[in-house]
Amino acid sequence: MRALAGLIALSLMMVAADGLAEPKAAPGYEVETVQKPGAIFAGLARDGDALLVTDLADGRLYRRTQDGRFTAFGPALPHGTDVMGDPTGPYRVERHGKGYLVAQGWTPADRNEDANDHAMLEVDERAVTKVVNNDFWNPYDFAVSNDMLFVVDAARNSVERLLLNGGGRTQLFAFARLSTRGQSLTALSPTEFGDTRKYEFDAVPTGLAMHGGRVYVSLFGGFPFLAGSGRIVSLPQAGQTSIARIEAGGLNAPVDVVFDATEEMLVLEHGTFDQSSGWASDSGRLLEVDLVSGKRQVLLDGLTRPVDVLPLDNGGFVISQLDGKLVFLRQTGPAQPHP
Amino acid sequence: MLLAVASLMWAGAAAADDDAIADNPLVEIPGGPFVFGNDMGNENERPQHIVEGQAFAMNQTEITNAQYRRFVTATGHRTAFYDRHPALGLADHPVVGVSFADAEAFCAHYGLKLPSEQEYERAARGTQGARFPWGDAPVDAARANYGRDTCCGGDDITAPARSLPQGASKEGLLNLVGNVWEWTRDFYAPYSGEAPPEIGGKYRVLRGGAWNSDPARLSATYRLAYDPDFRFAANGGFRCVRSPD
Repeated sequence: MRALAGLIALSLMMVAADGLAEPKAAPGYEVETVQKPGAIFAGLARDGDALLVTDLADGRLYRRTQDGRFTAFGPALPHGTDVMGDPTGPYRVERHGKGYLVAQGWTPADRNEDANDHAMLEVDERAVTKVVNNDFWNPYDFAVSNDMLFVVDAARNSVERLLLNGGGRTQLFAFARLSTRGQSLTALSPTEFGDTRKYEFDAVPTGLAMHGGRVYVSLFGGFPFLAGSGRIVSLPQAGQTSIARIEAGGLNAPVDVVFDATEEMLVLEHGTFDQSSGWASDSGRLLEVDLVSGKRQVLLDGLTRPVDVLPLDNGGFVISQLDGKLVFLRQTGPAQPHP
Repeated sequence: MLLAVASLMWAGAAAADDDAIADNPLVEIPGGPFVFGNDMGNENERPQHIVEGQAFAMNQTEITNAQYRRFVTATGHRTAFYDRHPALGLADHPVVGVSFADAEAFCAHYGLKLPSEQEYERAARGTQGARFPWGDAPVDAARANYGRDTCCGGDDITAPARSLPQGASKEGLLNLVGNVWEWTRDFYAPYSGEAPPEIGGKYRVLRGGAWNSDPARLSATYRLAYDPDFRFAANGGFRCVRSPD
């Protein structure tokens, strides 16, 4: 994982200041934002009428009920800052039978490694009940299909496939490094990037979704986090492939991909990275992408450090942000997304 | 044994002003002619020529996190970007995650400057234009911290600023090559002629290579031009000089 030439930045998910303005919704939608002070929100899931959200600030899982209250449940999982300086902890959660599945991130740098680190875990309302598998580096997202578990490993740049009991593990796909022409980086450094050679950066898979027998993965793109260098790719769910199919390109650090009830693909862009000020506030977006035509529409603009998106029953969405906010996008009429 | 000898070399280095930055003395570098530039290097390192240098004094080590924190406490200046990083933020390791302006402000607080490219080369190559601070012997892990990947060990990124004595310069300065790139005060421009307008006055030069550098960039003459506002570098730091210029 050789770094780019010259100066490098390490962190993928450096926590930043609050957004400056309210996100702007497309016509036909309205936005509501709620905040839990001090939280670093990550994963979102449904649990009946309640919303589940993971908090990297305290390693807890929270249930947000319809009255707006957050109630912690499950174990306090390892959390803190990883060796790259990013917040780590329970990245994702899903209801699974009577319990929950959790994707637990890299070992916090100030703690000794334990079995719950960089792992897929089963938890109940009080404790970890089973380590499904902890042979990951940084499991960032997952999906369940039949008896199979698909896990995206952001540090290993791979998608792993295993049985829900933890066995039968195989690497479905390992992503090669992405590349860009030097000219696009010249503004950063004329000595390192001012020619026509190609420079490589890590693919950094982040979000994962299952749709139509394929696994869809968002490739965030590593440092220098060039605008437009992210993409959505897909892989066959069964068997092996040597080629990932590009579904959408030119994206700004896509951090999650989902499909809604109408089978439309939604892509959550983390935002744009400025070399002097970092991840720009209010630069994250939720896009709807037509897989056939490639046409994309902005449903929500002005997000700050978003990490997960979850479709809701009413045709709306909820988005989690690292600044402890949940952004609800609700339909108020016929959707008229702006381009 | 070699370690002991090198340690004595440090102790014998002439401290120019012990009071400027605690724990990081300024080491006198005498004036006089020295070789600057490298005809065997990249185009932008040429031409090699003789420069009549003035005496100056340079910090013995890269500025550490502890030293930078004292500056932040005293001035209210913003912290280094990786100040709380579990490995990069260690007190005795070089501060990283600082822009050119951050580094310049630190040095100015102590009545110092960032080094010029000429001052850096004189300190790192001696007077005869050596390839490295220790001479022309090839680089190795006992002399410089270089060639590491970012993933995934975690604590083997930067080395302590006061380390690798076998790589010390003749005057006893440490880690002039490797560990972290070091900001200089010079704008990036050719050594002869004018900089093209799209470059002139826009970029500052860093020198010395870093913990992740490949051997091609790990020399005392390699010139890294970078956006001076960039403050997220996990491999960019600095040291200061007392300079007559």
